[in-house]
Amino acid sequence: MPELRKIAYLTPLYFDERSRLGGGERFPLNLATGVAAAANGTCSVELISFGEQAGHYDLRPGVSLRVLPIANRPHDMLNAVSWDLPAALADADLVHIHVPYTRSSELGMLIAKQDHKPICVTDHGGSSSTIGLNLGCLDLADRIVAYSDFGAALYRTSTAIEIIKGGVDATMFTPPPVRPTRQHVLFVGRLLPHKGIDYLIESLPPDVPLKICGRHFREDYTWRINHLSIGKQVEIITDADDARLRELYQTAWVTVLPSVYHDCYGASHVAPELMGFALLESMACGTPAIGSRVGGMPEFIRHGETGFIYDNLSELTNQIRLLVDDPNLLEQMGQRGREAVESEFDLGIAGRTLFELYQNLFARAREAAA
Amino acid sequence: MKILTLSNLYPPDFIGGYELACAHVVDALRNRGHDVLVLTATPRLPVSESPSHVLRRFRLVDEWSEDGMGSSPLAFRLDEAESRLISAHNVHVLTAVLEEFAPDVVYLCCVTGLGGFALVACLQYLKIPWVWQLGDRVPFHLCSTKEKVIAGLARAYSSRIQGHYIVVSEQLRHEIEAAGIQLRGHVEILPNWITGTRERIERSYYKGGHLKIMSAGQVARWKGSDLLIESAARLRDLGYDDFSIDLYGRIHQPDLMLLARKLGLIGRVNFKGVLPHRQLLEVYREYDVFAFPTVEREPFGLVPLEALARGCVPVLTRRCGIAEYLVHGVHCLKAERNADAFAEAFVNVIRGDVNIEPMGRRGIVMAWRDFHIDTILPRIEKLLVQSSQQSKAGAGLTKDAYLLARLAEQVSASLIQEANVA
Repeated sequence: MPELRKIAYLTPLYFDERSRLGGGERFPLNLATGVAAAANGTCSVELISFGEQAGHYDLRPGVSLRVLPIANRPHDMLNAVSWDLPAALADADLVHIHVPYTRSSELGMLIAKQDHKPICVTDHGGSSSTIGLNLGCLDLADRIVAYSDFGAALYRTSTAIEIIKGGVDATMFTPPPVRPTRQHVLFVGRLLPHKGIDYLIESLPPDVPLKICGRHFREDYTWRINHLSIGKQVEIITDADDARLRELYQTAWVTVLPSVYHDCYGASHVAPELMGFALLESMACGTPAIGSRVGGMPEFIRHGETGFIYDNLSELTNQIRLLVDDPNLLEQMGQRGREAVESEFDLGIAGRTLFELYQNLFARAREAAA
Repeated sequence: MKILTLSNLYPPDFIGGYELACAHVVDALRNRGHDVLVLTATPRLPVSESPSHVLRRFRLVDEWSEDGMGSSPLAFRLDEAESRLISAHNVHVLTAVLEEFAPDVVYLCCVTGLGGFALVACLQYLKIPWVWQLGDRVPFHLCSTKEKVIAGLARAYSSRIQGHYIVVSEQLRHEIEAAGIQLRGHVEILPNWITGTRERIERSYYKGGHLKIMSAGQVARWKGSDLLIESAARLRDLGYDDFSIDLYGRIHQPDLMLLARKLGLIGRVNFKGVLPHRQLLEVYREYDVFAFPTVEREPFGLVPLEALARGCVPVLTRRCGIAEYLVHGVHCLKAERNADAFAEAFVNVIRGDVNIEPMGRRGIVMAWRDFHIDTILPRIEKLLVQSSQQSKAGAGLTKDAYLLARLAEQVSASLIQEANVA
């Protein structure tokens, strides 16, 4: 019986040379790393994305990135396509499509299905094309891989759903050998209204510093954050690499994800937070997490044990105060958070579960073709 | 065997020999006891009631008509994609008929105009075995716009489409493959065929005097009608007055009549119009030579073969498809594709340097023996049987095939619109 040798991850986020691997690709990359580790050298994972120039890069053991040259210049670069995609998918035994509602993913789905390859799909949020969504193309997949119960409930498809929670790199994000002084509250994520950063700033006790780590996307929201920060100790960091990010986690009292269903501009968001990956990274570093009762976050924070879930902003203020003022509680929660990551949410665990799923799907496809 | 035949057009609605040849095979297979169903397009004009084995359900983009496609750049591109790449409607029609008829094998003819790429991809996805009769470079068309081959499509076709091909000439195969489109699977070179019953051919052969030259088919430059007219002028200028050239067929480029007039060839070059096929077959016996100065990429060229079967000796372009099967000086005369070369061939006949009678006699024997459908059909049948034995394990579902077609149609439309808006 042939073995599963190669898996293609279609991650159609647009890369250029400067930002080959941005935050949006972190999760698929972590899963790929976990899968390659679980395969123990028998199977590799190739991330496939798009850029100006073709390229191939080894990222981690068993994990590579292939950048396909784009054939078009759409307004939304998530809709970039490449004539090289059929060839790039040709030697894959299984295709896992990340961010399905883009034209490049739709094309990937078409090619992989035509080639009778097993297909997994994971929606990380975000969309740039409604074609596949409106046609119900998730039904063409063999398995949906969701990373939270909340996320799983959002899929409208007859395809079976597998929930694999976590996928954080617990070897990269670790507690420091000697804990430095904790000195700030931390937010990590894109600076967008549905992230609720404005509410976090409003809730922040004036004497507690806040560090916001992420990139600007909207000028008006940046202005709002800056305006609300007047008189408070808020610092925005836009250029942190992984090492700096880890240091920020390690030196934080707590990491907060204050995401909202209804943002300050009145816009509604169905799935503002499918998992809250930053919370897991924070927990991996031994730093407690606080999340709003929004999206998938309550599934990952054990309230009162590894962090807190809040329902209103005064609760948030109190929870921050509690952790800043009670170092024993903070360290206790941090330790339990780390334990939770190691036992449940590490990419090694997610990778093993996922690799087993891939093997089953591949074997089933082989059996059908025999 | 249950055989489903796919063709863009089907007589009485047809453009040329490709569709007629398809009908020949269908009739011959039915006569041999096979259950044959033809799936073709709704006719371009009303036709008399179709027999029950002909389903006219596909939607055709009429690439061949001046008004058949959109006039704005965007509309044209969208029509072109529907014609060559994908028509989800036609995939739906195909999958419905496949489910209902459950053929053992599909016999494909010309599928340009039907979104042929997706039809073949659909068969591939459903693992329905197929034999594709290539009388023209259809895979090339399916991977191309009017201007050029789309290299990415050609690569995708080459790596993924695999089956049984019947190609009418090596030249055609080479032409397709030279464009980067590989025909993967089993490829067999089989000529086109003549039909009918051989009767005793009563005719005379050229012994000197007035040389009667004819041509038949579209009167157009791509068929070399201009070269033929110019060769008449050369012949006259060389002092050979006793000849005539009659051109049968629809005049696609009326200025060719002006050319004949301008060269002072009235009376020597005659435009005879369209003759019903049956009458044309009779007319061949009245001529000494059949001139066929067609383009070198002519995939086959049935009319010279029909002429040869009646003892009318072809003078033809040296490297066209039919030329692969005929031997110069044995069954025909071959010439470079220019007016001088054709004039020289005619001169050789007039001067008696070449005796065409043995060529005509040998040609009659060979045409009826080697190129009759009764000879060719068993080879087609064998390929159909061979193909039908292909494993269908792991075949996709028809509902998924249609969903893929819808996805492909909308994605390609969005890309075309994006490119044309930009």
